[in-house]
Amino acid sequence: MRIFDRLSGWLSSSRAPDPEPQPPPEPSSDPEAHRPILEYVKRVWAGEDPDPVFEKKSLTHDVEFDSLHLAELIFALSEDLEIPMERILQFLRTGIPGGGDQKLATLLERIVMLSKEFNSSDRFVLLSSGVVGDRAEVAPIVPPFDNVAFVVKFCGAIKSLKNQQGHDAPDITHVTITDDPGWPSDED
Amino acid sequence: MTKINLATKSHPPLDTSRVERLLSILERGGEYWNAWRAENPGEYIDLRGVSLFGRDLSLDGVNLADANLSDANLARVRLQRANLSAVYAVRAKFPGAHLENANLQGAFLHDCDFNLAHLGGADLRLADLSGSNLLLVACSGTNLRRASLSSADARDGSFAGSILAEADLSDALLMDADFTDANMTASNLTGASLVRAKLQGTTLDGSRVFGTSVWKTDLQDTRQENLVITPEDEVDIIVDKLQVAQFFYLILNNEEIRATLDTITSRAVLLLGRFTAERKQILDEVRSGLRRLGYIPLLFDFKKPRARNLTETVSTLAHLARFVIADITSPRSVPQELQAIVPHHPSLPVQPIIHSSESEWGMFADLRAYPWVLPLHRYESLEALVASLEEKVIGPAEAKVNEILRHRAG
Repeated sequence: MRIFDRLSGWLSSSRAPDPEPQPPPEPSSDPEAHRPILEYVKRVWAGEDPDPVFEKKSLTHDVEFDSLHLAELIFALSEDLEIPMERILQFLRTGIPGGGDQKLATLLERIVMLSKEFNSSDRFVLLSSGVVGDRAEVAPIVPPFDNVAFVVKFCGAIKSLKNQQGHDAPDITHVTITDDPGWPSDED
Repeated sequence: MTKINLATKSHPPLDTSRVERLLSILERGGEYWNAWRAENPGEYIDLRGVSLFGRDLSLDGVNLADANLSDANLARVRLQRANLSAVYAVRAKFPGAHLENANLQGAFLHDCDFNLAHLGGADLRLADLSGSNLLLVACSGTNLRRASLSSADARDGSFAGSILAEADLSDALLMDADFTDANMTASNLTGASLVRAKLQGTTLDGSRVFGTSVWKTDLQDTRQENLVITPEDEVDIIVDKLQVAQFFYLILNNEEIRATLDTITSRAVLLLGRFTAERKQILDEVRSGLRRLGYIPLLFDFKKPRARNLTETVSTLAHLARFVIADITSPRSVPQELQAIVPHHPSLPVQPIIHSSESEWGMFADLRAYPWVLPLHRYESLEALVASLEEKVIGPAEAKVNEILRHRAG
């Protein structure tokens, strides 16, 4: 099953049979295509009822949303929710051995670096044009993941990383715990 | 407080020449190795895939802190008092190894083999042993505070006298294991199997026991208060005693069984109130008083986002209760809870209590109109509440229960 189009080679070993050939979608030209979904996700998390019509929309054809927007959306979430980027990158890189790729994590790393000097519109131009990185890293999201509902669920997975503790969180190097009476402390 | 370093999860690519060089140093014995490490404190200790099995090495007291021991074979190796703190050892083999009094704090030991290993007195605080095999392991007197044995297989293991407070034992196989006198306070036993396990004198207070199997478990003198019977993504429902926990969760989620119960014989008392630190003391005292008088206190904690329908859950708990005690001091969610209960349960007396310094919320008058809502009891202090609990709180509620029973019979 692939998330991005065939150029990205998300998971080459278990591809479903290709459907009827269709013309490749035009590259998105909207640098802010992730914003409506981000705002929608925040509203749903705040308790608003989900909008099934919006969630059924095609990311590629209705929202002009591709892998670069997904990376920008994740970056925005990490800033909003204060999720350590190291956790997100580890989560995205943990693929099926021999099957996954790291393009989304790489895109996100580039966004993190560029964010120190450029706003999201400038980053979009730099990354989608190939001035920074490989243009092939930016790819449309393919069926059955080509819908807003998929991104909402993906955001939920990213949000859950905030709750990681101890060994699960790669950014946590040590933990302070209470002493047990009768058990020698390290100072003893 | 003690600071525990955790094993690092990022490692450089395997360099076999480095591994061979380090192994040749280690083969000279623990003392030589420790002296070498003292001179080379910044060296990355990569011992991935090494086998020390059958080499007759004495590595007691060896310093392997922060080493990468993934896929290493340390079967039957003597490592007593060894420093293995913060080691990263995925799929390592320690069967029959002697690790008595070793320091394994913060170690990442996922999917390892500790069958028949000797770990008595070892420091395993914050160690991650998830998915590991610990069949017949000797773990008496160890400290496993905040360790993870999630999905581990520790059947027939001995953990007598060990500290497992705040440990994650979810989905662990602990059949026939010995936890005599162990401290398992606030541990996560979700889905764990404790079939035929020995829990004599064990402390389980505050543990999460959703889906825990306790068939034929020895619970003599086991401390088991404030057990959370719900999963982590649902509101906390808190009861005492493991068997009661199983019973309540079963009837909460099974309408048919629920319908067959005669609630009049119930000894459960539903306690509603705020669970903030300052309010919790009041609830704890009321609970203790109820226990002393042979009741089963039932708590419903709203602190978490709710996955289950609120009204349905409160209503179900109310259905199981003999009466309700509602502390409406600084109430927050209590009005909502009472609104879900009172109008629909005319056979359920509700005894409201409030600190004398506060006034009831405005709409409380509406609830007082129901005859089964008893007059408000005001208490001056915690001590005064405890002293008057039987006479002013439980007594009126019991009298109301009996009145309702007489009314039904007549």
